[in-house]
Amino acid sequence: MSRPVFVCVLLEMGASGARHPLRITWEDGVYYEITHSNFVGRRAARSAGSGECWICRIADKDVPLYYSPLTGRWWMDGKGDGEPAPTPEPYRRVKDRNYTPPEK
Amino acid sequence: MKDRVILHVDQNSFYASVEMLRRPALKTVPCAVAGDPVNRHGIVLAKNQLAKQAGVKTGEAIWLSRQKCPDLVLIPPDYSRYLYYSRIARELYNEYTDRVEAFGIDECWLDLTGCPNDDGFAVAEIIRERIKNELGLTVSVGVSWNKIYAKLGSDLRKPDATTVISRSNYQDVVYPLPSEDLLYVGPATSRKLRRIGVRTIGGLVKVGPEFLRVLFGVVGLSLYAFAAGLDTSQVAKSGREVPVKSIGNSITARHDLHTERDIKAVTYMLAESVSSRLRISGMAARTVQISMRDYELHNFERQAPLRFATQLCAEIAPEAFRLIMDNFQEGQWIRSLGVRACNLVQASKLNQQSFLEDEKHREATLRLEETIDTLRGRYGGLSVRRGISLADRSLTEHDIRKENVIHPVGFFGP
Repeated sequence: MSRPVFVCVLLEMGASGARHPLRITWEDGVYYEITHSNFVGRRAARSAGSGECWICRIADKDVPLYYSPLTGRWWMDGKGDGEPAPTPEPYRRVKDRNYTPPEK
Repeated sequence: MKDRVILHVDQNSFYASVEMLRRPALKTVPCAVAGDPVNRHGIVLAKNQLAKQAGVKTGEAIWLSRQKCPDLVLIPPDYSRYLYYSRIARELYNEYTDRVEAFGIDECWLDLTGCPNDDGFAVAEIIRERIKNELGLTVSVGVSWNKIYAKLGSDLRKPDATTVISRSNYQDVVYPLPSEDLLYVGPATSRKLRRIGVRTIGGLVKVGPEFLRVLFGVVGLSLYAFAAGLDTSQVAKSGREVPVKSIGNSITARHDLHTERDIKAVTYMLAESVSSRLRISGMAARTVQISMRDYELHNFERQAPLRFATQLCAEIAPEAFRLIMDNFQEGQWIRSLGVRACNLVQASKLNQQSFLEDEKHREATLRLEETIDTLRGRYGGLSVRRGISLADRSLTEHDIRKENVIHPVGFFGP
Protein backbone atom coordinates (compact mmCIF):
# COMPACT_ATOMS: atom_id res chain seq x y z
CA MET A 1 0.00 0.00 0.00
CA SER A 2 0.96 3.54 -0.52
CA ARG A 3 -0.30 6.78 0.89
CA PRO A 4 0.06 10.37 -0.29
CA VAL A 5 2.45 12.45 1.78
CA PHE A 6 2.01 16.17 1.25
CA VAL A 7 5.38 17.85 1.21
CA CYS A 8 6.77 21.35 1.36
CA VAL A 9 8.76 22.14 -1.80
CA LEU A 10 11.48 24.69 -2.48
CA LEU A 11 11.01 25.61 -6.11
CA GLU A 12 13.05 27.49 -8.66
CA MET A 13 11.01 29.27 -11.30
CA GLY A 14 12.94 29.53 -14.56
CA ALA A 15 12.76 32.60 -16.78
CA SER A 16 10.75 30.56 -19.29
CA GLY A 17 8.27 29.51 -16.64
CA ALA A 18 9.74 26.04 -16.12
CA ARG A 19 9.67 24.85 -12.53
CA HIS A 20 12.55 22.99 -10.92
CA PRO A 21 11.99 21.54 -7.46
CA LEU A 22 15.21 21.91 -5.44
CA ARG A 23 14.37 20.55 -2.03
CA ILE A 24 11.47 18.88 -0.25
CA THR A 25 10.57 18.79 3.41
CA TRP A 26 9.03 15.47 4.49
CA GLU A 27 6.16 15.45 6.96
CA ASP A 28 8.55 14.73 9.85
CA GLY A 29 10.45 17.95 9.07
CA VAL A 30 13.53 16.34 7.46
CA TYR A 31 14.96 18.09 4.40
CA TYR A 32 15.90 16.18 1.27
CA GLU A 33 17.94 17.79 -1.50
CA ILE A 34 16.88 17.04 -5.06
CA THR A 35 20.00 16.60 -7.14
CA HIS A 36 18.24 16.32 -10.46
CA SER A 37 14.64 16.59 -11.66
CA ASN A 38 12.87 15.82 -14.88
CA PHE A 39 9.35 16.97 -15.76
CA VAL A 40 7.39 14.10 -17.32
CA GLY A 41 3.91 15.59 -17.77
CA ARG A 42 0.73 14.40 -16.13
CA ARG A 43 0.76 11.13 -14.23
CA ALA A 44 -1.57 9.21 -11.95
CA ALA A 45 0.09 8.73 -8.57
CA ARG A 46 0.53 5.29 -7.05
CA SER A 47 -0.88 6.55 -3.74
CA ALA A 48 -3.80 8.77 -4.70
CA GLY A 49 -4.82 11.44 -7.19
CA SER A 50 -3.08 12.56 -10.35
CA GLY A 51 -1.20 15.66 -11.34
CA GLU A 52 1.87 17.13 -12.98
CA CYS A 53 4.84 14.94 -12.23
CA TRP A 54 8.57 15.41 -11.80
CA ILE A 55 10.90 12.45 -11.48
CA CYS A 56 13.35 13.61 -8.84
CA ARG A 57 16.67 12.11 -7.80
CA ILE A 58 16.76 12.10 -4.03
CA ALA A 59 19.57 10.21 -2.22
CA ASP A 60 20.44 8.42 -5.49
CA LYS A 61 16.90 7.18 -5.98
CA ASP A 62 14.45 8.31 -8.67
CA VAL A 63 11.10 9.11 -7.08
CA PRO A 64 8.04 10.90 -8.46
CA LEU A 65 6.91 14.24 -7.07
CA TYR A 66 3.39 15.38 -7.95
CA TYR A 67 1.71 18.77 -8.15
CA SER A 68 -2.03 19.31 -8.46
CA PRO A 69 -2.98 22.55 -10.26
CA LEU A 70 -6.48 22.10 -8.82
CA THR A 71 -5.48 22.23 -5.15
CA GLY A 72 -2.01 23.75 -5.47
CA ARG A 73 -0.50 21.02 -3.28
CA TRP A 74 2.62 18.89 -3.79
CA TRP A 75 2.83 15.29 -2.71
CA MET A 76 4.86 12.09 -2.96
CA ASP A 77 4.09 8.40 -2.59
CA GLY A 78 4.80 7.35 1.00
CA LYS A 79 4.87 3.96 2.64
CA GLY A 80 1.98 2.67 4.70
CA ASP A 81 -1.79 2.68 4.41
CA GLY A 82 -3.73 5.72 3.33
CA GLU A 83 -6.67 7.06 5.26
CA PRO A 84 -9.28 4.35 5.86
CA ALA A 85 -12.61 4.23 4.09
CA PRO A 86 -15.28 6.24 5.87
CA THR A 87 -17.89 4.26 7.76
CA PRO A 88 -21.42 4.76 6.53
CA GLU A 89 -23.56 6.96 8.72
CA PRO A 90 -26.72 5.24 9.91
CA TYR A 91 -29.59 6.36 7.77
CA ARG A 92 -32.00 8.76 9.34
CA ARG A 93 -34.71 10.89 7.94
CA VAL A 94 -33.23 14.26 7.26
CA LYS A 95 -35.06 17.16 8.73
CA ASP A 96 -34.36 20.79 8.36
CA ARG A 97 -33.96 21.86 11.96
CA ASN A 98 -34.93 25.46 11.29
CA TYR A 99 -38.18 24.59 9.65
CA THR A 100 -41.44 23.12 10.83
CA PRO A 101 -43.89 22.39 8.03
CA PRO A 102 -47.43 23.65 8.53
CA GLU A 103 -50.42 21.39 7.80
CA LYS A 104 -50.77 20.51 4.15
CA MET B 1 -16.62 7.15 -50.21
CA LYS B 2 -14.54 6.15 -47.25
CA ASP B 3 -16.41 5.68 -43.98
CA ARG B 4 -15.98 8.17 -41.21
CA VAL B 5 -14.02 7.15 -38.11
CA ILE B 6 -15.87 8.21 -34.98
CA LEU B 7 -14.98 7.48 -31.37
CA HIS B 8 -17.24 7.85 -28.37
CA VAL B 9 -15.31 8.08 -25.13
CA ASP B 10 -17.27 7.55 -21.92
CA GLN B 11 -15.62 8.01 -18.54
CA ASN B 12 -16.81 5.15 -16.34
CA SER B 13 -18.89 6.20 -13.32
CA PHE B 14 -17.12 9.51 -13.57
CA TYR B 15 -17.97 11.26 -10.29
CA ALA B 16 -17.37 8.11 -8.24
CA SER B 17 -14.08 7.39 -10.04
CA VAL B 18 -12.77 10.88 -9.32
CA GLU B 19 -13.66 10.47 -5.65
CA MET B 20 -11.95 7.06 -5.53
CA LEU B 21 -8.89 8.55 -7.15
CA ARG B 22 -8.68 11.07 -4.34
CA ARG B 23 -9.38 8.50 -1.62
CA PRO B 24 -8.38 5.03 -2.85
CA ALA B 25 -9.83 3.42 0.30
CA LEU B 26 -13.28 4.09 -1.16
CA LYS B 27 -12.60 1.29 -3.66
CA THR B 28 -13.02 -1.22 -0.86
CA VAL B 29 -16.52 -0.12 0.18
CA PRO B 30 -19.71 0.47 -1.76
CA CYS B 31 -19.91 4.20 -2.25
CA ALA B 32 -22.00 6.68 -4.15
CA VAL B 33 -21.78 10.38 -4.92
CA ALA B 34 -25.11 11.85 -3.89
CA GLY B 35 -26.72 15.26 -3.54
CA ASP B 36 -27.58 16.80 -0.21
CA PRO B 37 -30.88 15.52 1.23
CA VAL B 38 -31.23 18.66 3.37
CA ASN B 39 -31.43 20.71 0.18
CA ARG B 40 -33.68 17.97 -1.25
CA HIS B 41 -31.18 16.99 -3.91
CA GLY B 42 -30.95 13.56 -2.33
CA ILE B 43 -30.41 11.29 -5.31
CA VAL B 44 -27.51 9.07 -6.35
CA LEU B 45 -25.42 10.80 -9.02
CA ALA B 46 -22.81 8.06 -9.52
CA LYS B 47 -21.79 4.85 -7.79
CA ASN B 48 -18.82 2.54 -7.74
CA GLN B 49 -18.67 -1.10 -8.83
CA LEU B 50 -19.43 -2.53 -5.38
CA ALA B 51 -22.51 -0.35 -5.02
CA LYS B 52 -23.60 -1.35 -8.50
CA GLN B 53 -23.38 -5.01 -7.54
CA ALA B 54 -25.59 -4.27 -4.56
CA GLY B 55 -28.24 -2.95 -6.93
CA VAL B 56 -27.78 0.79 -6.43
CA LYS B 57 -28.88 2.72 -9.50
CA THR B 58 -27.95 6.18 -10.70
CA GLY B 59 -30.79 8.65 -10.24
CA GLU B 60 -32.63 6.86 -7.45
CA ALA B 61 -33.40 8.37 -4.07
CA ILE B 62 -30.88 7.89 -1.28
CA TRP B 63 -33.34 6.15 1.05
CA LEU B 64 -34.04 3.56 -1.65
CA SER B 65 -30.33 2.89 -2.23
CA ARG B 66 -29.84 2.60 1.52
CA GLN B 67 -32.53 -0.08 1.65
CA LYS B 68 -30.71 -2.11 -1.00
CA CYS B 69 -27.26 -1.47 0.41
CA PRO B 70 -27.21 -0.47 4.11
CA ASP B 71 -23.41 0.00 4.12
CA LEU B 72 -23.46 2.52 1.32
CA VAL B 73 -21.01 5.36 1.92
CA LEU B 74 -22.31 8.67 0.62
CA ILE B 75 -20.03 11.38 -0.67
CA PRO B 76 -21.12 14.95 -1.44
CA PRO B 77 -20.33 16.05 -5.01
CA ASP B 78 -17.41 18.35 -5.75
CA TYR B 79 -18.19 19.80 -9.17
CA SER B 80 -15.07 21.93 -9.53
CA ARG B 81 -12.99 18.76 -9.28
CA TYR B 82 -15.11 16.93 -11.86
CA LEU B 83 -14.95 19.87 -14.25
CA TYR B 84 -11.19 19.96 -13.89
CA TYR B 85 -10.79 16.30 -14.82
CA SER B 86 -13.30 16.66 -17.63
CA ARG B 87 -11.32 19.58 -19.07
CA ILE B 88 -8.01 17.72 -18.86
CA ALA B 89 -9.52 14.71 -20.63
CA ARG B 90 -10.82 16.96 -23.42
CA GLU B 91 -7.40 18.56 -23.81
CA LEU B 92 -6.02 15.07 -24.27
CA TYR B 93 -8.62 14.19 -26.92
CA ASN B 94 -7.77 17.42 -28.74
CA GLU B 95 -4.27 16.11 -29.37
CA TYR B 96 -5.76 13.58 -31.81
CA THR B 97 -8.41 15.60 -33.61
CA ASP B 98 -9.86 19.09 -33.78
CA ARG B 99 -13.40 17.70 -33.76
CA VAL B 100 -14.27 16.88 -30.15
CA GLU B 101 -17.90 17.26 -29.19
CA ALA B 102 -18.87 16.97 -25.56
CA PHE B 103 -22.09 15.20 -24.59
CA GLY B 104 -22.45 16.02 -20.94
CA ILE B 105 -19.49 16.29 -18.58
CA ASP B 106 -18.06 12.79 -19.02
CA GLU B 107 -18.77 11.82 -22.63
CA CYS B 108 -17.23 13.02 -25.87
CA TRP B 109 -17.40 12.20 -29.55
CA LEU B 110 -14.18 12.38 -31.54
CA ASP B 111 -14.09 12.43 -35.33
CA LEU B 112 -10.80 11.07 -36.63
CA THR B 113 -11.73 11.17 -40.32
CA GLY B 114 -8.88 12.67 -42.32
CA CYS B 115 -6.56 12.93 -39.33
CA PRO B 116 -2.95 11.72 -39.66
CA ASN B 117 -3.74 8.77 -37.43
CA ASP B 118 -7.24 7.65 -38.41
CA ASP B 119 -7.03 4.05 -37.23
CA GLY B 120 -9.96 4.16 -34.82
CA PHE B 121 -9.05 1.13 -32.74
CA ALA B 122 -5.39 2.13 -32.35
CA VAL B 123 -6.25 5.68 -31.25
CA ALA B 124 -8.94 4.35 -28.90
CA GLU B 125 -6.39 2.08 -27.22
CA ILE B 126 -3.87 4.92 -26.90
CA ILE B 127 -6.47 7.25 -25.39
CA ARG B 128 -7.61 4.56 -22.96
CA GLU B 129 -4.03 3.88 -21.82
CA ARG B 130 -3.18 7.57 -21.52
CA ILE B 131 -6.29 8.41 -19.48
CA LYS B 132 -5.41 5.56 -17.14
CA ASN B 133 -1.75 6.55 -16.76
CA GLU B 134 -2.11 10.31 -16.75
CA LEU B 135 -5.43 10.87 -15.01
CA GLY B 136 -5.86 7.64 -13.09
CA LEU B 137 -9.38 7.16 -14.49
CA THR B 138 -10.85 4.55 -16.79
CA VAL B 139 -12.80 5.10 -19.99
CA SER B 140 -14.71 2.84 -22.32
CA VAL B 141 -14.48 3.67 -26.00
CA GLY B 142 -16.78 2.83 -28.89
CA VAL B 143 -15.46 3.00 -32.45
CA SER B 144 -17.76 3.12 -35.45
CA TRP B 145 -18.66 5.08 -38.57
CA ASN B 146 -21.48 7.08 -36.99
CA LYS B 147 -22.08 8.79 -33.67
CA ILE B 148 -24.96 6.55 -32.59
CA TYR B 149 -23.13 3.26 -33.04
CA ALA B 150 -20.01 4.70 -31.44
CA LYS B 151 -22.09 5.54 -28.37
CA LEU B 152 -23.69 2.10 -28.36
CA GLY B 153 -20.20 0.61 -28.56
CA SER B 154 -18.92 2.51 -25.55
CA ASP B 155 -21.94 1.30 -23.53
CA LEU B 156 -21.44 -2.34 -24.52
CA ARG B 157 -18.35 -3.16 -22.51
CA LYS B 158 -17.49 -1.36 -19.29
CA PRO B 159 -15.24 -0.42 -17.66
CA ASP B 160 -11.93 0.20 -19.39
CA ALA B 161 -12.55 -1.42 -22.79
CA THR B 162 -12.71 -0.64 -26.48
CA THR B 163 -15.53 -1.91 -28.70
CA VAL B 164 -15.42 -1.67 -32.47
CA ILE B 165 -18.66 -1.72 -34.42
CA SER B 166 -17.75 -2.06 -38.09
CA ARG B 167 -19.69 -2.64 -41.30
CA SER B 168 -18.82 -6.31 -41.03
CA ASN B 169 -20.07 -6.97 -37.51
CA TYR B 170 -22.77 -4.40 -36.78
CA GLN B 171 -25.67 -6.72 -37.56
CA ASP B 172 -24.38 -9.25 -35.04
CA VAL B 173 -23.49 -6.68 -32.38
CA VAL B 174 -26.12 -3.96 -32.60
CA TYR B 175 -29.27 -5.69 -33.84
CA PRO B 176 -29.78 -8.04 -30.85
CA LEU B 177 -29.55 -5.13 -28.36
CA PRO B 178 -32.79 -4.01 -26.65
CA SER B 179 -34.32 -0.97 -28.31
CA GLU B 180 -34.01 1.04 -25.08
CA ASP B 181 -30.24 1.13 -25.55
CA LEU B 182 -30.73 3.44 -28.50
CA LEU B 183 -30.47 7.18 -27.98
CA TYR B 184 -33.92 8.78 -27.66
CA VAL B 185 -35.77 5.56 -26.94
CA GLY B 186 -37.10 6.32 -23.46
CA PRO B 187 -39.81 4.56 -21.44
CA ALA B 188 -42.69 6.02 -23.51
CA THR B 189 -41.21 5.16 -26.91
CA SER B 190 -40.17 1.76 -25.66
CA ARG B 191 -43.74 1.05 -24.49
CA LYS B 192 -45.11 2.00 -27.91
CA LEU B 193 -42.55 -0.21 -29.62
CA ARG B 194 -43.39 -3.15 -27.42
CA ARG B 195 -47.03 -2.78 -28.37
CA ILE B 196 -46.11 -3.47 -32.00
CA GLY B 197 -43.80 -6.28 -30.94
CA VAL B 198 -40.47 -4.49 -31.40
CA ARG B 199 -38.00 -5.29 -28.64
CA THR B 200 -34.63 -5.01 -30.32
CA ILE B 201 -32.79 -2.51 -32.48
CA GLY B 202 -32.83 -5.07 -35.27
CA GLY B 203 -36.60 -5.19 -34.94
CA LEU B 204 -36.73 -1.41 -35.34
CA VAL B 205 -34.82 -1.67 -38.61
CA LYS B 206 -37.05 -4.46 -39.88
CA VAL B 207 -40.22 -2.42 -39.28
CA GLY B 208 -38.96 0.17 -41.74
CA PRO B 209 -38.98 3.97 -41.85
CA GLU B 210 -42.49 4.41 -43.27
CA PHE B 211 -44.20 2.59 -40.44
CA LEU B 212 -42.10 4.35 -37.81
CA ARG B 213 -43.03 7.69 -39.33
CA VAL B 214 -46.71 6.85 -39.03
CA LEU B 215 -46.17 5.83 -35.41
CA PHE B 216 -43.85 8.59 -34.16
CA GLY B 217 -43.92 11.32 -36.80
CA VAL B 218 -40.63 12.86 -37.91
CA VAL B 219 -38.89 11.42 -34.85
CA GLY B 220 -39.66 7.96 -36.27
CA LEU B 221 -37.43 8.67 -39.25
CA SER B 222 -34.61 9.73 -36.93
CA LEU B 223 -35.08 6.57 -34.89
CA TYR B 224 -34.85 4.45 -38.03
CA ALA B 225 -31.69 6.27 -39.13
CA PHE B 226 -30.19 5.78 -35.65
CA ALA B 227 -31.03 2.08 -35.59
CA ALA B 228 -29.84 1.30 -39.12
CA GLY B 229 -26.55 3.18 -38.78
CA LEU B 230 -27.58 5.81 -41.32
CA ASP B 231 -27.08 8.77 -38.98
CA THR B 232 -24.92 11.41 -40.67
CA SER B 233 -24.78 14.08 -37.96
CA GLN B 234 -21.37 15.71 -37.72
CA VAL B 235 -19.10 15.88 -34.71
CA ALA B 236 -18.88 19.57 -33.83
CA LYS B 237 -15.53 21.32 -33.89
CA SER B 238 -13.92 21.86 -30.52
CA GLY B 239 -14.62 25.23 -29.02
CA ARG B 240 -17.43 25.92 -31.45
CA GLU B 241 -20.01 27.92 -29.59
CA VAL B 242 -23.54 26.70 -29.86
CA PRO B 243 -25.86 29.67 -30.31
CA VAL B 244 -27.74 30.22 -27.08
CA LYS B 245 -31.49 30.04 -27.42
CA SER B 246 -32.48 30.72 -23.86
CA ILE B 247 -30.96 31.30 -20.45
CA GLY B 248 -32.64 29.94 -17.38
CA ASN B 249 -32.14 28.88 -13.80
CA SER B 250 -34.26 26.70 -11.61
CA ILE B 251 -34.01 25.48 -8.07
CA THR B 252 -35.62 22.92 -5.83
CA ALA B 253 -36.32 24.88 -2.69
CA ARG B 254 -35.15 23.60 0.63
CA HIS B 255 -38.74 23.41 1.78
CA ASP B 256 -41.98 23.74 -0.14
CA LEU B 257 -43.00 27.32 -0.85
CA HIS B 258 -46.48 28.51 -0.08
CA THR B 259 -46.29 32.12 0.98
CA GLU B 260 -46.00 35.05 -1.37
CA ARG B 261 -42.91 36.22 0.47
CA ASP B 262 -41.00 32.97 0.00
CA ILE B 263 -41.97 32.74 -3.66
CA LYS B 264 -40.93 36.32 -4.24
CA ALA B 265 -37.55 35.79 -2.59
CA VAL B 266 -36.76 32.73 -4.69
CA THR B 267 -38.06 34.32 -7.91
CA TYR B 268 -35.92 37.41 -7.47
CA MET B 269 -32.88 35.29 -6.69
CA LEU B 270 -33.38 33.26 -9.87
CA ALA B 271 -34.10 36.35 -11.98
CA GLU B 272 -30.92 38.00 -10.72
CA SER B 273 -28.87 35.04 -11.86
CA VAL B 274 -30.63 34.95 -15.25
CA SER B 275 -30.21 38.66 -15.91
CA SER B 276 -26.58 38.54 -14.86
CA ARG B 277 -25.94 35.65 -17.26
CA LEU B 278 -27.77 37.58 -20.00
CA ARG B 279 -25.39 40.49 -19.50
CA ILE B 280 -22.35 38.22 -19.62
CA SER B 281 -23.43 36.66 -22.90
CA GLY B 282 -24.47 40.04 -24.33
CA MET B 283 -28.04 39.00 -24.98
CA ALA B 284 -31.39 40.55 -24.16
CA ALA B 285 -34.65 38.70 -23.65
CA ARG B 286 -38.04 39.48 -25.14
CA THR B 287 -39.93 36.73 -23.36
CA VAL B 288 -39.87 35.48 -19.82
CA GLN B 289 -40.90 31.96 -18.94
CA ILE B 290 -41.56 30.43 -15.56
CA SER B 291 -41.79 26.80 -14.56
CA MET B 292 -43.27 25.46 -11.35
CA ARG B 293 -43.45 22.03 -9.85
CA ASP B 294 -45.65 21.40 -6.85
CA TYR B 295 -45.12 18.86 -4.09
CA GLU B 296 -47.02 16.21 -6.03
CA LEU B 297 -44.48 16.71 -8.83
CA HIS B 298 -46.96 18.26 -11.28
CA ASN B 299 -45.12 20.46 -13.73
CA PHE B 300 -46.41 23.73 -14.96
CA GLU B 301 -45.02 26.31 -17.40
CA ARG B 302 -46.16 29.74 -18.52
CA GLN B 303 -44.58 32.50 -20.53
CA ALA B 304 -45.25 36.13 -21.24
CA PRO B 305 -43.71 38.73 -23.56
CA LEU B 306 -41.74 41.59 -22.08
CA ARG B 307 -42.50 45.10 -23.26
CA PHE B 308 -38.92 45.62 -24.42
CA ALA B 309 -35.98 43.37 -24.98
CA THR B 310 -34.15 43.59 -21.70
CA GLN B 311 -31.22 42.44 -19.61
CA LEU B 312 -32.52 43.99 -16.43
CA CYS B 313 -33.45 42.01 -13.39
CA ALA B 314 -35.66 44.96 -12.48
CA GLU B 315 -37.84 44.13 -15.51
CA ILE B 316 -37.55 40.34 -15.64
CA ALA B 317 -38.17 39.63 -11.97
CA PRO B 318 -41.49 41.48 -11.53
CA GLU B 319 -42.85 39.93 -14.73
CA ALA B 320 -41.80 36.43 -13.62
CA PHE B 321 -43.27 37.01 -10.19
CA ARG B 322 -46.54 38.26 -11.70
CA LEU B 323 -46.73 35.16 -13.91
CA ILE B 324 -46.19 32.88 -10.94
CA MET B 325 -48.70 34.63 -8.72
CA ASP B 326 -51.33 34.68 -11.51
CA ASN B 327 -51.10 30.91 -11.70
CA PHE B 328 -50.53 30.18 -8.06
CA GLN B 329 -53.51 28.84 -6.22
CA GLU B 330 -54.09 29.39 -2.56
CA GLY B 331 -53.03 26.32 -0.64
CA GLN B 332 -50.65 25.14 -3.32
CA TRP B 333 -47.16 24.03 -2.33
CA ILE B 334 -44.33 24.67 -4.72
CA ARG B 335 -41.35 22.36 -4.69
CA SER B 336 -39.26 23.87 -7.40
CA LEU B 337 -39.27 27.09 -9.38
CA GLY B 338 -37.56 28.12 -12.59
CA VAL B 339 -37.14 31.42 -14.42
CA ARG B 340 -36.04 31.45 -18.03
CA ALA B 341 -35.32 34.26 -20.47
CA CYS B 342 -36.04 33.31 -24.08
CA ASN B 343 -36.58 34.85 -27.47
CA LEU B 344 -33.11 36.35 -27.21
CA VAL B 345 -31.60 39.15 -29.29
CA GLN B 346 -28.13 40.63 -29.39
CA ALA B 347 -28.02 43.38 -26.79
CA SER B 348 -25.55 45.42 -28.86
CA LYS B 349 -28.15 45.84 -31.59
CA LEU B 350 -30.58 47.48 -29.21
CA ASN B 351 -30.92 51.21 -29.04
CA GLN B 352 -33.58 53.44 -27.68
CA GLN B 353 -36.71 51.37 -27.78
CA SER B 354 -39.28 53.87 -26.71
CA PHE B 355 -39.94 57.58 -26.42
CA LEU B 356 -42.33 57.23 -23.56
CA GLU B 357 -40.32 55.00 -21.33
CA ASP B 358 -37.73 56.74 -19.26
CA GLU B 359 -34.69 55.51 -21.15
CA LYS B 360 -32.29 57.30 -18.85
CA HIS B 361 -33.70 55.48 -15.90
CA ARG B 362 -33.24 52.12 -17.66
CA GLU B 363 -29.63 52.93 -18.45
CA ALA B 364 -29.02 53.87 -14.84
CA THR B 365 -30.57 50.61 -13.68
CA LEU B 366 -28.35 48.68 -16.10
CA ARG B 367 -25.27 50.42 -14.72
CA LEU B 368 -26.40 49.68 -11.18
CA GLU B 369 -26.93 46.00 -11.92
CA GLU B 370 -23.58 45.78 -13.70
CA THR B 371 -21.92 47.28 -10.65
CA ILE B 372 -23.57 44.68 -8.45
CA ASP B 373 -22.28 41.98 -10.84
CA THR B 374 -18.76 43.33 -10.41
CA LEU B 375 -19.08 43.42 -6.64
CA ARG B 376 -20.36 39.86 -6.58
CA GLY B 377 -17.61 38.72 -8.92
CA ARG B 378 -15.10 40.17 -6.52
CA TYR B 379 -16.51 39.39 -3.10
CA GLY B 380 -18.78 36.40 -3.73
CA GLY B 381 -22.38 36.00 -4.83
CA LEU B 382 -23.76 36.62 -1.36
CA SER B 383 -21.92 39.88 -0.76
CA VAL B 384 -24.73 42.06 -2.12
CA ARG B 385 -28.22 40.79 -1.47
CA ARG B 386 -31.78 41.91 -1.69
CA GLY B 387 -33.65 42.65 1.51
CA ILE B 388 -36.30 40.09 0.66
CA SER B 389 -33.73 37.30 0.58
CA LEU B 390 -33.06 37.84 4.30
CA ALA B 391 -36.57 36.81 5.29
CA ASP B 392 -35.78 33.11 5.04
CA ARG B 393 -32.08 32.56 4.65
CA SER B 394 -32.36 28.81 4.23
CA LEU B 395 -34.12 29.40 0.91
CA THR B 396 -31.81 31.97 -0.54
CA GLU B 397 -28.33 31.17 0.68
CA HIS B 398 -27.29 29.85 -2.68
CA ASP B 399 -24.88 31.35 -5.12
CA ILE B 400 -26.91 30.19 -8.08
CA ARG B 401 -24.64 31.52 -10.77
CA LYS B 402 -21.67 29.76 -9.27
CA GLU B 403 -23.52 26.53 -8.65
CA ASN B 404 -24.89 26.49 -12.19
CA VAL B 405 -22.10 24.66 -13.94
CA ILE B 406 -23.38 21.56 -15.64
CA HIS B 407 -25.39 22.35 -18.72
CA PRO B 408 -27.60 19.54 -19.98
CA VAL B 409 -27.34 18.89 -23.68
CA GLY B 410 -29.44 17.08 -26.24
CA PHE B 411 -28.32 15.20 -29.32
CA PHE B 412 -30.18 17.55 -31.65
CA GLY B 413 -28.64 20.59 -29.99
CA PRO B 414 -30.17 22.92 -27.44
